[in-house]
Amino acid sequence: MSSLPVPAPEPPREPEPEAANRDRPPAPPLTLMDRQSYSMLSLVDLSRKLWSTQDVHEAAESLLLNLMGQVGTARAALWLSSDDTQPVLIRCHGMEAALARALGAACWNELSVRFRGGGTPIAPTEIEGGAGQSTRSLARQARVAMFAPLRAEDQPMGLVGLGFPVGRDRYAPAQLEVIEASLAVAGLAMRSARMHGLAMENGRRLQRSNEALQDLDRMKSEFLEHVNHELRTPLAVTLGCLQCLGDPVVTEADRGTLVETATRSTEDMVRLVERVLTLSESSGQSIVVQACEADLRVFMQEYSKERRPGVSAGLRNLVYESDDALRPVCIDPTRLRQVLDELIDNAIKFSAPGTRILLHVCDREEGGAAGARISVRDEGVGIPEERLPDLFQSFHQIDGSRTRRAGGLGIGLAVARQLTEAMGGRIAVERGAPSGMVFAVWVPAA
Amino acid sequence: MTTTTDFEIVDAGRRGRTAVLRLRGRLDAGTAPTLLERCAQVQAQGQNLVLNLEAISFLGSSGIGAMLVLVEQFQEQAGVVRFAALSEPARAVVELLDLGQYLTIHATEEEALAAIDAQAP
Repeated sequence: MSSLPVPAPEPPREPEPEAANRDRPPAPPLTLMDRQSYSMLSLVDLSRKLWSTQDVHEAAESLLLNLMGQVGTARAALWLSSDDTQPVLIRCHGMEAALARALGAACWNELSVRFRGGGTPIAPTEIEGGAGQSTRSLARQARVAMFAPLRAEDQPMGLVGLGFPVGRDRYAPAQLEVIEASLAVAGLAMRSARMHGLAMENGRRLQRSNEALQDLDRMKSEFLEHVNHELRTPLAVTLGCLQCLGDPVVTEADRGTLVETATRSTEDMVRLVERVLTLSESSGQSIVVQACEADLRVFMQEYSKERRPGVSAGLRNLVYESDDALRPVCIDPTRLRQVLDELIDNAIKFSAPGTRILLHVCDREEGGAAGARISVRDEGVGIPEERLPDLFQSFHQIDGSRTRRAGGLGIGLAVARQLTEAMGGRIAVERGAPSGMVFAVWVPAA
Repeated sequence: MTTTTDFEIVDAGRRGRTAVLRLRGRLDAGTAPTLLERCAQVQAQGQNLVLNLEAISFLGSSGIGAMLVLVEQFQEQAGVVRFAALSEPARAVVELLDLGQYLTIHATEEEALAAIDAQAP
């Protein structure tokens, strides 16, 4: 292995434009290169990136990479506060995620208090109290040299941990100032990203509710139209017969005919009521599908991009992966969107903040038919094997108790199955390894 | 080839178990995630990696951060990443932060490949 030492800098000169680059606008010259100017450029670069980001996880990654490059460390982690008392690990580099989670949990309470009214970065060795010993031990394992608060306008949001700068055993005061400045910018941007994500998620839910109401309204109109016509006729006949029976001029023979007619009409009504009940039961299956040929790769890219900020705002990381080439499929984009919404909402309900939701798509043949498989995998506690067969039935929830953690009527997965099947597809579920569930939707090729 | 507005990653093939990627343009906060994503694909195939930085016009702190992440990530999987032929802007930043030894920098792509070959069991 031959590692070359970095040679002494040459006198400043204008770089020669390369042949392949002649048509491009020239890159801005980098003439200032001391610590101060490097920090300034880093801060500008970070700000530019953060203000174009509306995704909490993306913002966290940008912040950590930037800080690591600013101070020259190979280790960093970022935790955010959540509704829970435990912090949520959003991203880490250079250390095991499990170790980073344990470290965050160990120091969280102590540092939350310490950083509440402000505060500057501190070393793990400065943490006192009961948490001090475990924090110091875990920080040594993770080789974390300091913690710094992440705030937005004095409101604590989270915590950043950084390793030792390469080749050094401490941070210079100027480096700490740069870190604080970067965190101030990042705190505001991440709060903005989180609020944007929550707003998008609420908007999406509102839109889905509106679509569901429109569906219900359409079904109600069809139902009433049906009932109105069918029910009025026998009712009118029965009423007419009963009115005649009360008339003293009607003969005994006519009375018999009237009773017979009223009875027949009533029997018609009984049959009608039975049909109405049948119609009511099957009304949920009255799904209008407008399937057409679609580029699944484009559809999924747009869909994952649209959902990511909302999922991220709930502190789950939506990771999308796709095979390079996918064959065209036959789908109703609106309906497939509803199906995926149900599956991702379900994954959010049954997983904890700080976990990932993996959205994967690939070509897949099933039963000899070409198509594509879209899977949604969570890292939650999973569903017992014996409950899987009932999972796509209406009004089914894993935890039937009144105190169950996840809300909803338990019709989401049943709706997802109906919609998928209406598109000519199939839906299935299996337990993930090592944890969580994998819901897979198969749709036919065009 | 992976391309964004200001950044390109050119696949320069592989030698044995080592893939070579040539970077061109600005490696900054906007483009560093693209580099990490592409390198993760290389790592997923169980390959070592040589990154050629000859045509890097700007190396920001996020780019340096990404390079530090790559060193750790490849080490975790018993792989190797080497950096070769640093452009003047890239070299200036690496020198400023005194990261030359940690990042294992080589004068040319060939030297980096030879060093990985020599290290292989």
